[in-house]
Amino acid sequence: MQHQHQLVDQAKRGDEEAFDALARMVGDRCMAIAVRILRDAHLAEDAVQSALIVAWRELRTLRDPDRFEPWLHRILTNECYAEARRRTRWSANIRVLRVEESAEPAGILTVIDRDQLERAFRRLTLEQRAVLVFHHYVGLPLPDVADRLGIPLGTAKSRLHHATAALRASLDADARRPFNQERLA
Amino acid sequence: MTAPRDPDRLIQAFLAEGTTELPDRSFDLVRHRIHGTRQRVVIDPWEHPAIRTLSRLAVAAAIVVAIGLAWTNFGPSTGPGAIPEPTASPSASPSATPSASPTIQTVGLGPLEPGQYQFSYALTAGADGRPGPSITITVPSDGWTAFGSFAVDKNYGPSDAEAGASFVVWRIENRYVVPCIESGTPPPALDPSPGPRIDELLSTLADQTGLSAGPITPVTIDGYDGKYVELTVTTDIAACQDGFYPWLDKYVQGNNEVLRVYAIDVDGFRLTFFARIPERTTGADRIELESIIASIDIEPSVMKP
Repeated sequence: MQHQHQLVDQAKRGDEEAFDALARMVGDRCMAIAVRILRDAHLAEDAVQSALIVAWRELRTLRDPDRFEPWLHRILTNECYAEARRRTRWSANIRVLRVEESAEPAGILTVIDRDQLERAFRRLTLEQRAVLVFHHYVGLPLPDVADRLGIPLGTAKSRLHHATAALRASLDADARRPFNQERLA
Repeated sequence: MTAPRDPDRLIQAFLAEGTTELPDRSFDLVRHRIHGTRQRVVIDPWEHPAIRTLSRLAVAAAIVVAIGLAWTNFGPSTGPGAIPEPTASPSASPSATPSASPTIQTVGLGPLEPGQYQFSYALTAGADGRPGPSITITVPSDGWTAFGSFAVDKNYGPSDAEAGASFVVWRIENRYVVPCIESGTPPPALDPSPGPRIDELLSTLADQTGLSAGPITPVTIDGYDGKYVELTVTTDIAACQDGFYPWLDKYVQGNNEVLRVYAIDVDGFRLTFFARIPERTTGADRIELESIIASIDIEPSVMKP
């Protein structure tokens, strides 16, 4: 963290090498967040690039170098919204393109679970997705999520409630139709 | 017998899946892009040279005023034959008061305070990547939000359906063959694309199914001549499964939305931007949107087209 603090300080003075090192330090985590909000690796990549460039441009407005990552995540989230809004919606409603699957976590998700969750997740607003991702994936408590996204705590709670309810409902619906063989486009 | 499933665990497992790596090409691109991107200067008003000069003048004037007052009150009385000493002119006082000159900020993210904001030259860059003109606007009141550095929205809501009136800087060059996208595959762009003239672009945008277009109307923005056309969405966009696109990459956010597209000739550069007026826009918001457009200050790019 101390190293990151120093890099932020150096980058604030216009040191491009320091910012490059900083970007490489935080870029993967930003990508992980963006791809989960947008459910599209290409859009996520563009959003992270835009966020890093905005961060470079606005870096001198960041007063506390230790707040770099939360500050960057807020920019990133806004860039995710912008990217989704600016780009096409081709992938939004038509086909369930899975985010590149990894070998883990094993076991607990069935194919049908995953497909139902994917469909339900894509029906959430981006703002609901962001709260869900910061809470359930990044692991932040809700007050921190609200702080990171720049929204009131009540709004964060409400978004999380609706998002979680929608995802749970999709799983329940699946449970009622155990032999759902719906073919995904 | 199967164990009961915990939905929250399933949701967490679902979110845990997926890529967690930003490709190297992205780091390289960011590195390349920041090399040509200046960091925004955070101006402490008292560090700004112009303000510093003002403050020196103010201090000097204040000293003169103070000496004058002291002389008047405590100096030797002036007799009938005495020659009056010069005193500071009362008119010096107002100009002696330091006042911060308006600071033009870059449109970034989040809520905006009333004031002047500049959109980046990069937003209007041509296909060759050379920066175009920049646009500075005056945000008249609270309630406007910068969105993604290219738009300012009034009463921006958490979803498209709630977004209010907007002023958007957007490079518009072409449109799709049809605006209503019903399948998963985007239709091709119009080929050939509209020519470089303002009329060619605006008439191409106006000539689409699902839209009604007003007349192409001459306009002057900050001394530069151009034209605008007002497009009103007449189709039910719900029928367009993948959205309704009046031009490339721009989808309409609501039925009956009005998009006023401007194309301005800035020293031979076709500068485009648009006003978005959703159906529910209030009269007051519309007035503010018009005031933003009226406030536009165009700064030509140093890079000639």
